[in-house]
Amino acid sequence: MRINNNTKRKKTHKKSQMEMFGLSLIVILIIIGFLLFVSFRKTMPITDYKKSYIADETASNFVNSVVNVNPVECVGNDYTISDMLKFCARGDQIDCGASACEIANKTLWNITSRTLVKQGMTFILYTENAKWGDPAAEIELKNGDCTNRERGQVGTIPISLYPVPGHVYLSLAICN
Amino acid sequence: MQSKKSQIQMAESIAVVIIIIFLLVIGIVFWSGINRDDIKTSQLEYQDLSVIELAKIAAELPELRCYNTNVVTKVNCFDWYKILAMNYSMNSPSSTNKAQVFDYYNYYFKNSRITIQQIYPNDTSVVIYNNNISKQTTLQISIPIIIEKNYGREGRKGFGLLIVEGYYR
Repeated sequence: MRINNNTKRKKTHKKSQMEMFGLSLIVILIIIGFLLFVSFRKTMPITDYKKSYIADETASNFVNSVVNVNPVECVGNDYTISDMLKFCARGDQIDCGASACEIANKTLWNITSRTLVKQGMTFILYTENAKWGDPAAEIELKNGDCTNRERGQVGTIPISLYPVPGHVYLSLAICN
Repeated sequence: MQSKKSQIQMAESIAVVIIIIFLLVIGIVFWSGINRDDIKTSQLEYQDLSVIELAKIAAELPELRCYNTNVVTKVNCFDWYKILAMNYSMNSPSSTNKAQVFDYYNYYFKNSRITIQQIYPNDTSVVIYNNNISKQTTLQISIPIIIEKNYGREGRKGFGLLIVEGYYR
């Protein structure tokens, strides 16, 4: 009789142990679920639409505006940066106290250093075809360092070399 | 014996219910905290979007654009003398219709500050609209623009920034 009672008590003891184990398992699973949820929320990428909007506006408007600027070196005429890049690419001589390439480079550096550099933007402002067959003579102004993969929004403006065939391109790449 | 067993079972059930309620309460508190953060984030996003909207309006103001025989000549070109005239009519104490002008632009620009800063050849800035209610800025947008000083025929063009700042209400 006593043996029988002992086995019964052992059985109930084991049963309650199992129940406790099940309960703690549920609690642990819920906690793990919570932790997974929190970590998932934290790693969810937040789309920074402000940054992309500002970079987009800056890239396109900067090149569109800067090519229309009249350099201070050419007071007596209406030459613009667009003309300077054109003269530079064609190798034309101008009466502004310096070469077209030098004036374009100096003016672009002057403007970028007072705007994009001051705002702490990482960028590359560069020309293509400014010197036919001489890539070393291209204008390249940059702040910070970014590879092709990091280049975000790019604004490009083509400038016709008419009557000579071809175009010179001025591009601004705002880096991510 | 039976009564003791059922008492233990009751206590066990109560413990389970208490634990579940405890977990539920923690969950609700946690969830409401996340929701509160989400609401704050969407409020900020809304403020920023309204500044972007303001920047779009300011960049297209026909009152300030460069015209040549009634045709808009360049994209993003602002006439320097129109900028000065707008600044005068909005901010000068000697302007006769200052209040009406301010009210008119307040409908579009609300609580913001709009500045036109000439960068090249000279560094000058003109505030054309300022209604900083709380002095706590949200987002600042600088749009590159052409600033034309028109002396009669083809004007000389400089480089500038249209700076739009939004303020919290």
